[in-house]
Amino acid sequence: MQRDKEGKNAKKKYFNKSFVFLVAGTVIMIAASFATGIMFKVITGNMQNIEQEYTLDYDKHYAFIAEDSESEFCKEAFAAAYAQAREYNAYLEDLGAALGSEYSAEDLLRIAVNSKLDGIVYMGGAGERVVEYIDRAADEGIGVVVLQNDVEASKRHCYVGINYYELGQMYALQIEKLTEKTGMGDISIDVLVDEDMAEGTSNLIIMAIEDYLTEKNGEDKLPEIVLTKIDAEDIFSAEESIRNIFLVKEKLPDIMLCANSVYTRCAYQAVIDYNLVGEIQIVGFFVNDTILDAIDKEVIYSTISIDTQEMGRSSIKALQEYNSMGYTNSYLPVEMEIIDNSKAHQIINEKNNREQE
Amino acid sequence: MAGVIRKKWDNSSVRTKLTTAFIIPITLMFAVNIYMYIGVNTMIERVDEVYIANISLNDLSNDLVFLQNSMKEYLESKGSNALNDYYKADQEFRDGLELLDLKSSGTAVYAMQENIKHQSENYLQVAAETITAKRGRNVEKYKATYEESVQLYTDLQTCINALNNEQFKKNTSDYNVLLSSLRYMEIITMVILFFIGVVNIIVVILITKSMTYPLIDLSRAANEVAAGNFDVELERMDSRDEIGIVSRAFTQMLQSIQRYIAEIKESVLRESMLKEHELVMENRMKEVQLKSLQAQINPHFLFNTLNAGEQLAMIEGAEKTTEFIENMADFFRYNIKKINNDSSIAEEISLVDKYIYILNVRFTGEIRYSKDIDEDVTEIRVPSMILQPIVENAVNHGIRDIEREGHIDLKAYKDNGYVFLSISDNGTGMSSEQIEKIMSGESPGESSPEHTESNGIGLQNVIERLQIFTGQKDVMEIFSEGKDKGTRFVIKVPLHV
Repeated sequence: MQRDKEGKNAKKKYFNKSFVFLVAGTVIMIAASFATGIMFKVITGNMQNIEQEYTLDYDKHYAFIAEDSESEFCKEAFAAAYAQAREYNAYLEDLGAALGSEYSAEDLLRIAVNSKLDGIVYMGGAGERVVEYIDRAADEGIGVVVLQNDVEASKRHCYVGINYYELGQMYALQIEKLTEKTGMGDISIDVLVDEDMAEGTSNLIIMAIEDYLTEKNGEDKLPEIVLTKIDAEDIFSAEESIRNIFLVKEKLPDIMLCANSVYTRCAYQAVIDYNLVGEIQIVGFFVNDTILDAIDKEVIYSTISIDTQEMGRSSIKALQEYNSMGYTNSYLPVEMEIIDNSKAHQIINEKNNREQE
Repeated sequence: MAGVIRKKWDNSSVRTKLTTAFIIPITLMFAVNIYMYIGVNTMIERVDEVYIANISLNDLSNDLVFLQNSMKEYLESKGSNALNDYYKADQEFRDGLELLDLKSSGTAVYAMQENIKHQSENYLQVAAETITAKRGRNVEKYKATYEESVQLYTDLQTCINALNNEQFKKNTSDYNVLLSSLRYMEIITMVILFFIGVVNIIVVILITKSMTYPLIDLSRAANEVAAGNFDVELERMDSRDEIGIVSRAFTQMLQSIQRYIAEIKESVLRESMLKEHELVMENRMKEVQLKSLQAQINPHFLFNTLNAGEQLAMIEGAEKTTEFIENMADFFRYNIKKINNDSSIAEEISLVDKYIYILNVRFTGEIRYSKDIDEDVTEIRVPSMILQPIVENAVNHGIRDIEREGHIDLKAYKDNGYVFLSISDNGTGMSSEQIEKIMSGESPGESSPEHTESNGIGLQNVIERLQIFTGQKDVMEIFSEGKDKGTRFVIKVPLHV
């Protein structure tokens, strides 16, 4: 009876959902809090990563000093040398990049010596002060490796660069090819070299050309070979000097042999500007997209490519050897290759294919 | 586990539930706030730290300038103050170098810092040599070393500036990262606080709603009960909190009320049935009483006989006898006719008249009879046979045995909503005990049926019938001032029964 009555007044059972709401709400809020915590961690974690990217430990501290540190040639050599240094747990500092362009290679050399670094990779002129600082560095036990242009008078420990006699022979080979049809009788050849280039080096190039051509054609049929030293005192002087050749010279050369990448580019531009394409043949030095394109378009006949990366790597290897053994090879040669029209075409095609892929 | 917590939750008080429902979200919000505050604060501290390196490099540069100047001043003046300044500057510069620690700023910066430190060592050494040479008056040497120190000083300043610049670039990039991170954190903080706030509000609303729902249900039920509907449905509550207790108590109360209502209804029904029964019984009894009273008188034979006598007397020409017998016959006819019904006061008075006439014939005019009647009341209905028994009583017990002339006075009047019928005699009177006995019903009155000359209706019968008729107790009063002072009976009947 009692149960019946109770049933009459309270038929449905009331399900109190407050507990469900409390639990669900708490779970949602805790989940949201955790998500926030994770997001915070990710954000702060990202920041730490950024900092760690720049923090490298190293055993040796080397300096890379180049007169024309902005040139592609130098940049390529530096990048390869930097990567090689990392492999040896060493740090290669581009000293000029941090201190600005107003500092000359000489000044940088002085700073590098005063900074008591473990090694110096130098690429530049061979002036007296340069020799002085290199000698001081060598005296203080700092390994010095010279790239491309040797500073023979100094106590540098190693020279990494091309064999200039071999370079001369390569130029001679190109001259031979260029004069195959016309013969060498009346042609004139201009060899553009750096003003800072040691006398012996430039003479070596001329000698190699003459040796080669004499061997091939006999002494009588040697063309006229002129050595032109380009003023590269400041950044625009090289371009002006090359233009002067086109303006002032009554008889323009038939073949221009450029001993660095800047001269190659300047000569190429001047030939176009003065509408002398086909009349003046250029044999360049170094390879980049502009030069390749010019060869492909037959504005430049060919270029001598050197393995700049190999050059950079070798410099660091030499420094490492010096630091660990106390001595190293005084000369490490760098391979050269002739890039003519067909080779340039091939390289461009390969590059395009890679890009398409 | 969840079941146990659920059970605990259901059994906890409303206060505990509400407190928990508020405390948990608030604690969570508080924890999130604290966490975010710490996170943002840490980042702000790092932003502050960003440019500390620049400041210390600037200080180092200033120290170097001070050192170079103090050296130059000493070389120029050789003053002790300048020398003191030099030593002081030397120490400060060394301290500054010691403090310089940019290991965490990246390889390029660290490498530059190392360069500066090494160049500084050179510079300090050259400067010290210069000072020593000056003190030793070695002019050639100090000139040469000063030149060298100037070169080193220039290089050093350049390197410090370059480092400062590099550090600034890095700091700017770090600052940008920090700033964007801070902005992200700000957005996340706002979003999460907003989200938790909204969830919080929803949870509190839902919990409050869910907890107060039974109360609302209860108040609805209470309103229905207040409106008189006890057949209310309430959802059954299993929770042990206050609301559950109140809800169950209300349900029980409702059941109790319903039970009591049912019981009261039953008892009222029983009582009314009982009353009805009692009334029927009473009526029956009255009927029986009346019947029995009636049964005491059987005047039919006498009445018929008297009619025959009246006719005989008329035939014989005996007028007085005829009148006497006629009155007699009327008297008994009235008895027969009216005994079952009520009659008017006029009829009652007429019967008294006839009765007195008969008595005066029997007792040769010994009774002087007078009446004072208010004509307004003559049509008022009263039970029949109420005056005659009283007059009979007055004659038999009042004036029969007195030597003097007997008087009977009859009055009828109305006063204050009542009709008063007064019968007074000048007889022997009554003692108060006698009056009390009559009124209390202990004595049926002298004109009992046993009395041979009575018409069979006693005073008690008159009183009872009047009481039944009027529904009142107070229907008759008897007044007597004592022996030989006569008696007065007053009947009191409401004007409208």
